[in-house]
Amino acid sequence: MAERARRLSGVPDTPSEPAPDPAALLHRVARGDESAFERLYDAVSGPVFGLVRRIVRDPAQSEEVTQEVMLELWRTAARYSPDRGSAMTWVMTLAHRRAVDRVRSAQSATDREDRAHRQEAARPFDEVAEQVSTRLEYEQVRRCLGSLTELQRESVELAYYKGLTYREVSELLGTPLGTIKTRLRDGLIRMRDCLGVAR
Amino acid sequence: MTSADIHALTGAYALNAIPEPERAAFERHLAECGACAQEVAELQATAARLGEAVAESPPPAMKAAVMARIRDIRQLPPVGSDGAAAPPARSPWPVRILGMAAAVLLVVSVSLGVVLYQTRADLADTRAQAAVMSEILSAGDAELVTGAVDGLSGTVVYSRERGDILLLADGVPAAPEGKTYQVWLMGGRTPFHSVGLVTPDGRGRAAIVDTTGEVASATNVGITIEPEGGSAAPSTEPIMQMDLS
Repeated sequence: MAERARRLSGVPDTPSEPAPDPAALLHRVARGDESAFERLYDAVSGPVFGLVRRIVRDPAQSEEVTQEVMLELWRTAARYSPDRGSAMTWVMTLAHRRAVDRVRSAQSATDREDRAHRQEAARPFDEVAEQVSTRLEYEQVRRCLGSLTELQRESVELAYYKGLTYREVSELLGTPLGTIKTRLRDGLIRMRDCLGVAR
Repeated sequence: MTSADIHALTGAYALNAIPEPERAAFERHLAECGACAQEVAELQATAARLGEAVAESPPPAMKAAVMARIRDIRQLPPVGSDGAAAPPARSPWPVRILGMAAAVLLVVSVSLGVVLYQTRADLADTRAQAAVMSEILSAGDAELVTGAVDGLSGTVVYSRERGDILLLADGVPAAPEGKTYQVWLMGGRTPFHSVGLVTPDGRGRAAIVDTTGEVASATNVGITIEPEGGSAAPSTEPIMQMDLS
């Protein structure tokens, strides 16, 4: 445990004050409130950066993409609508898309030469275990990932944390496309139920 | 693609794992399938949790950099866009149809997916469209407007920063004998910039792309009927025009 705690250093274990509601902040940001944006930055930049870094990997590019995402939030705050889901989901979906756009445009040139990375690729979630900022969140997600079948988990992780398309996942795992589609869906549904996500 | 097949893509979509142009096709399906949209929303929320679980503090200097940069960035008004996270919004289509008999109504309506999944004969072309669309959509200021008028739907995708616009249409009747459809960007640096001539395919679908940068300053997209070969400037009233936000 002490070992674990040390590895988590650099990120506070418990936030000093309750995190502000990102939806309320976005609403104020939409009206040009810079101080609300600053608080929004504090609330979401960690999750955004962590996810982007996971997908993009290169530190400089990850920072660049994270900044783009944050600026995009400033620019498009008024376009957020609670009907579509939580503000955090909106933010994370945007971050994921931007990160994936970045790696896909870069990858098309390299064309995933190294199948050898499969081993490494197969454990993308555990890899970042040391970096998580919210242990509770992390533990819960890990527990739920553990409730998936091996193949569901592997597919979901490759798609989400590596930014692969389902076609790429299919190729990498040597599994038919239809099977991968089903696995991604079933895997996420199981995650949803395990995490108790409403929407 | 059968509907069962396409429905199974909710998971892949929520994980942002569907490549273009398939993604556009799926988004079109989403707009029509309430149950799918609900499932996607839930699965996106689930995926977001996977993301939050790997949070990591960014370098402290980033905050000041971001705070400094927002001062130079204009915020978008809260009008009909579909944001980044959502399936295409069913926002009102900003279309003004100028007086015209119903028989010759040209409706720029798009079915992204349908247009992009055409026959092999025009695959090269649709691939090019898909590439451009995907590029435009990746721009920070991309606008994707979809909607419907009288049962017909349409989509225009553009980025003023990039200077690219893609317009896709279906339900387009053949142009009158000896005439052609011509698409214009209007109200910008060039008052009437010809995007080009469009001819609908056998199923009334057409698409056109403009990457000259004229869209950066244009205020409308319009379509006129012109003599074969096109005109240097519109010679008739636009049969349709759309406001660019």
